[in-house]
Amino acid sequence: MNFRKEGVAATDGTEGAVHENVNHIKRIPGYLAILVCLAAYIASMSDTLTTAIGRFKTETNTVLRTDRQRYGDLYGMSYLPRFRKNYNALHKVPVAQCSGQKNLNLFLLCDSYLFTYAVADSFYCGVDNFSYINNNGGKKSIGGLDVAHNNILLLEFTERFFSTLASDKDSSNYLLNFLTIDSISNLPSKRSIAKSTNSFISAVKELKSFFFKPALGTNMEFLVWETGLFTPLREFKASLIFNLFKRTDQKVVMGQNFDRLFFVETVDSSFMGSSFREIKDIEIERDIKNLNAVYDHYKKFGFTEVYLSIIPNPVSVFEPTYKGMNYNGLIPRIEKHPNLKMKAISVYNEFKDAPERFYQPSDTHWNTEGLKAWLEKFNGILASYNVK
Amino acid sequence: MLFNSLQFILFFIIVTISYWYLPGKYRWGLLLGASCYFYMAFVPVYILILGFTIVIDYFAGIYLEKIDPRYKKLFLIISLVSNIGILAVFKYYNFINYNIDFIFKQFDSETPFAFLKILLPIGLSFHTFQAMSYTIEVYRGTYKAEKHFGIYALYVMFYPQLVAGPIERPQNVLWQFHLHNTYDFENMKSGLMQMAFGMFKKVVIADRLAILVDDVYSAPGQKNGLTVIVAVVFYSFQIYCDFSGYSDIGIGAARTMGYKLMDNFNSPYLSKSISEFWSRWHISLSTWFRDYLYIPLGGNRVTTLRWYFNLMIVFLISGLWHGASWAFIIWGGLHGIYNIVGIIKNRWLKKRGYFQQNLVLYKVTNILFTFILVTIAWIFFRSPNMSTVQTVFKQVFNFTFKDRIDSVMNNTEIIFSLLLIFFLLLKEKYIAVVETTKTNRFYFWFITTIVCCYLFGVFSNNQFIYFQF
Repeated sequence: MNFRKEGVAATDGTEGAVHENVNHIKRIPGYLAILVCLAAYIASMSDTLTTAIGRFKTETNTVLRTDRQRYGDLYGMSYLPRFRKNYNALHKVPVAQCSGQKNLNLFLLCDSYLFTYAVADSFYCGVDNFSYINNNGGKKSIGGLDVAHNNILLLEFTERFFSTLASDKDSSNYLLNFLTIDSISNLPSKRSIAKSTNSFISAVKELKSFFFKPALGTNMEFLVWETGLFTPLREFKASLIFNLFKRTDQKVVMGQNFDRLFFVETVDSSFMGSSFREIKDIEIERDIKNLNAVYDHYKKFGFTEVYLSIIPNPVSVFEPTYKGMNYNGLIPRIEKHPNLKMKAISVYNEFKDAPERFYQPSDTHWNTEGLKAWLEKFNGILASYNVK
Repeated sequence: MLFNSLQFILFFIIVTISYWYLPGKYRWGLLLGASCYFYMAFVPVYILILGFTIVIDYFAGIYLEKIDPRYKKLFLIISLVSNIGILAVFKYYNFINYNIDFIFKQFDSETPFAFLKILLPIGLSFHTFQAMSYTIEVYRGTYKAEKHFGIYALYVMFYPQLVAGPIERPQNVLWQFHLHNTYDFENMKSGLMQMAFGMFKKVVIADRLAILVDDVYSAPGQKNGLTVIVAVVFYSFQIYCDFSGYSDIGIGAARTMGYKLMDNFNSPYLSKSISEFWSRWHISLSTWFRDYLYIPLGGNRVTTLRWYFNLMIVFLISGLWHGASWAFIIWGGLHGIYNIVGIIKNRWLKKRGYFQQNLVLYKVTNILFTFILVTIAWIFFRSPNMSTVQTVFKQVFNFTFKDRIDSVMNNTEIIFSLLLIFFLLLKEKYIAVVETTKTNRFYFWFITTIVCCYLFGVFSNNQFIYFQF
């Protein structure tokens, strides 16, 4: 190994370095490489840039497009080409066809099953005022409820999220606090007053969250690596590993007939959201108690009715006996529980009878038919308020 | 920032090219800034702890040189106490408190001290030991105190070896930061090749073996004897490839900028005895303990019993260095016992004239036996608690020839993993360093290694095992 340490200790600060000897033109590729890498860093640090680039990559038809969601989110995790099928995307969900007055205020606490696709009053019957928040930690304060209207609150969860949420004490508290009245919540707290006086600390925090963003690595991989240009390479690797080792991405599990993908958290029983995690009766009783507390809280708040809807994990309806494990029956056990005060919008039975109609083989979400089936059921209930 | 991440690759490109484009006198500033960013990418606030020890040790070094020899020891103690104090608070406080609590619980009471809810700063043990080596060397007069604060800070923080070593000495590396290295394509090629092979060891071998190892260690009681034995053997290679892979990437990254860091591994699983194993495994740590603990304790130039005592002390502390738990202490103690038994065995054999090291069979048997001993000790290292250790041993002893491997890996993947291990051992035996002087050969091997890393690598954000220390 020719290891040279022939550089000289600095005396006048000009000798020894290669910078004097290298032609500047030869350096141009190096400068370009630095620029490109720096640009990737800065774009990944900035939320605005990341969002804008993300939107561009989703909408463009060039090789820069991202294929992550194009054929379903599970395809985007596994990149198995056998699931690169025409994706029955949720673009053409019909608006609700309802007659009668609009006399409902609808409030949704929902996850990606709804907020990605159906968050406008046009999807819901008789809705005059519509609002929603993401149940993944979102909070909202409102100016109070309009008592001249029927106020409807819907809590929509995917099964895996409900299972995780119900078993966690802090999450139950979250359900009691995601909605607050303006007059209380808008008062500046002592803490926030103190915060505003200490602008130096907040500036440091802002700098920290910019330069050392926890999502920096993920953002960078999305910006640099998630383009159609690399899709063939990713698919080649995914096929090779699958054909050799029958292994896919660790977040994805293959169905027993190799015809569909499931999200690992819904299958592996060590995850709280798994359809196969053993759930004892005492746990169901606790969930019902928590849900009833939430129901009482929002009824007191002024809501006319509070509804609950749990959308099945695909594996619960496709393969309820996956590799010898048995579905824990969370949805029927909750929905049919005699003490549950909330009314359930249930699609479990329909989905169980013909699951392939309602789910994509390469997505954790439902397809247009699934959403339509659910909307029909919910709009049927909303329409009953119009009759009144 | 993990070495096996896109974030690091971009960081490396920016830093390395900028390094060569900058005039020599500014390079230390670039490297120091980059190293700060690299470290802060884990938990930014912990840079303050590192900064604190750097300031203390920098001034301690300067005063150690200037001050009346009678007070030198005082400054050394101040420096060592501040370093070890930080280590004690962040790494050992809760462990000590758990043990106090255990004793109190025997008397139906509980510890009067609160438990700390703090994250261990990443690589704390590594940079603390590196900083300590500086003050000790200055105290001994074998190295002059560094006057340039930035260069001294860079010695502690140099990003390629900041979080998982090699634990450097000032006489090996500090002076190199004063040089204005000239660009050398040979260094660039060999550095890049070493990085690529380090990456191969990490993402292709270590992280693939981890799939089976993690599965088995998460519930060893549910696996049969054969599966547990395979996992135990795989872990030996996982930890080696993980740690030596990290060292290779670090040493290679430094070399691309013209710096030479010490080797940290030298085919440890080809060792014929435990003492040889420790001269080939984590060399920078074992030589640290040799120079700053074992020899000051008297080394082997004492009575036999005292020699054994010295060995035990060194290995027990080495275990504790790795982690604050009894499992690590037992792991260290086990290696201490292995060493002492090895010494007794060699003396006994020598006395009776059985010492025929040249026989191939003798060599192979010793290599295998050493590997088995090391592998048994790794069970303590890998298990999250002592009950897992018990279960693993129980399952190993329950092995029958009817057992079939019951794991998340299919047979092809297990055979592939075994082939990787075989390939690794062959390479270690016959090709210590991939030759890169011929540029075409370099490009061929470099590109092949990178393609293999991509195609067969497991990219699951697996941290390097030694980061936790």
